[in-house]
Amino acid sequence: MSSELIVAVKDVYKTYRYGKNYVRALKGVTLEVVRGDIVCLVGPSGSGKTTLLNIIGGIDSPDSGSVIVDRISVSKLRGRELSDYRLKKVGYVFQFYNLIPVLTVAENIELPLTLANVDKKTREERVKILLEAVGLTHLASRTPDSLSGGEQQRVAIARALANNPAIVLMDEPSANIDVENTIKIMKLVEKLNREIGQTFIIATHDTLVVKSCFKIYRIRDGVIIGRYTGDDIAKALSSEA
Amino acid sequence: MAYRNLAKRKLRFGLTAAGIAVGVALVFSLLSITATAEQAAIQQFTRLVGYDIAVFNGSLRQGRLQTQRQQISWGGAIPQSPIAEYVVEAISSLQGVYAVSPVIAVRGIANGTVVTVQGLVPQTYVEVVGGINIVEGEMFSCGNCSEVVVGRSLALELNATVGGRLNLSIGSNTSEVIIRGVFETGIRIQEMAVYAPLGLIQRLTGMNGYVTQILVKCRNPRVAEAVANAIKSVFPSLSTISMAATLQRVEEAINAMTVFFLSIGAVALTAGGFGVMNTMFMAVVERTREVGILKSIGATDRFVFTLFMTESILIGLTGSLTGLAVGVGFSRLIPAVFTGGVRFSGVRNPQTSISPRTTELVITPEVVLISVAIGIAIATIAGLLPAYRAARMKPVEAVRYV
Repeated sequence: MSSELIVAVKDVYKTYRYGKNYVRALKGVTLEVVRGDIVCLVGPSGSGKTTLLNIIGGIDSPDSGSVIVDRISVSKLRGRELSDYRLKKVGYVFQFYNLIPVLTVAENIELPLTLANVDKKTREERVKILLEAVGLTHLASRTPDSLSGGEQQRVAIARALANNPAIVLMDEPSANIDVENTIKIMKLVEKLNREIGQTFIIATHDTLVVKSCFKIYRIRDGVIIGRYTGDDIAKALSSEA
Repeated sequence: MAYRNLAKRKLRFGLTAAGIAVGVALVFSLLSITATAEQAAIQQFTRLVGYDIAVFNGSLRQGRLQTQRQQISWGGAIPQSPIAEYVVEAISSLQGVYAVSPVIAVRGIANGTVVTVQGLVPQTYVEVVGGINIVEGEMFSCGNCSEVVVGRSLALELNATVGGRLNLSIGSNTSEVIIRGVFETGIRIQEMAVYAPLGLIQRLTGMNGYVTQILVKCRNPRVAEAVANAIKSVFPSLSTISMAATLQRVEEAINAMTVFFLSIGAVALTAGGFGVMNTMFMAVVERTREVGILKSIGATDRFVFTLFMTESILIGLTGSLTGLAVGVGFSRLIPAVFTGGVRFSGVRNPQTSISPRTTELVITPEVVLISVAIGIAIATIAGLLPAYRAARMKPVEAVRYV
């Protein structure tokens, strides 16, 4: 496996203001992700996992520090460049699936391709491949509200992969699905990682999810408090528990 | 996607479109009313006159004919100063003049009933006013004989028939005349009249060699003003009434009515526009999370803006087309309003009422286009602010929205 750095987050700070109160979500976070890795950000709710994912994904911006993804300095992007980055470099899988309710499964997967102005024939071919990859060909014409949580999550993964992104960010992918579906989702993640070398960064506190990760970063109160690989992961998991 | 979002909330979509539809229907109906009224007025006007210029010996002040001091007394029967008959020849030789018809219009008494008596030359009169609608008998053809045609209303009042005789008095002179025909104009005041040969009326009034009016038909109605000016420059003591100018005044009045009606429609459409704005703001708020998702997966501000604008325009289009259909249906009732008499004043006067005739509903492409365009434009304008707000949402805040 290549050891090329695909994500480099350096000394990132982020503070939110809620009325008169300030919440320091990230306090100098630094992390690196190698291309083809499955990296987990593990920590309790409010620890800063989602904020970090949002900053890497270009849907939020850091107050200071730098974020480089696939040689692009994300923190310097603005406007259309930023939209283009989100469209082509990042696939985002949200905790609540966040599919477009008025579109069918196939159309939801097709949406990023449409936004990227991909021609119709290529779009159709790509959607077909992605539906097969996530095992939902038979549900292509259904709308999201008629699917189970696990199925919706698989649609979200297919949508995230539509434009062959450099990284796929997953925010608490198992939060709203049962154990059986969590296992299925993570097997799908492992398969995609194995077959196409897809890089995943997953924010979670679910041990079932963490088991699939090559590397984990433990985060608490906006600070990375540990980095684990290989056998250390099990140790980290037991201490997290 | 825009259509499906609207279709998902059918009731709200329908009610919002209905707001626009009401405004468009109102604008369309009101524009149709004014267009129909304009056509009806022009039609009635044409039926009332038919000529382009009327020449009098007098001056016009505030729309009323003021006769000059040198008016000769003709026993009180003649309200206007006479014009020498040679003037007719002079006017007919002016450039742009198609036909000229001398007329003596006086008050008279027919079998004890006060009537309008018109002395005319049938051949030139028909050329100038476009014909007389003889419904019984025929038009007299002589220039000096004792034959007349009478209006239908007068014939009914006097119980007179074709071939019958009338005692026609003008001032102190009386002549027995034969009724050759009955004419109809549909206007009672016009039908309480006797049309007689010019020579006969000149003899009865003692106005040999004189007439009271000269009616002029131009080769093209557009040159009527120029011809009228030419007449006044050759005969400064004469006055002219150009029908084009009168029609222009009618059109100005109708234009004022159009502006008034449009302002009513504009108020209704503005209310509809606020309805669209309200709906779109609600849609933006409800779909904040959806906007966040779209932006998170790479949708540009422009895409989001276009999405919401498309929805606004679809509401406007649906409302406009529905309003147009309703407006057409409603406007079909309009001709009934104009049938049976147009009231130029506030009170219906049976003396000026017009016989029932069908007035065609006027639906011009301009009226259709203006109505639909206004509806769509209002919805588009109303959608701008909500769409802009949606486009400017920060994805991270929108995705967090619950």
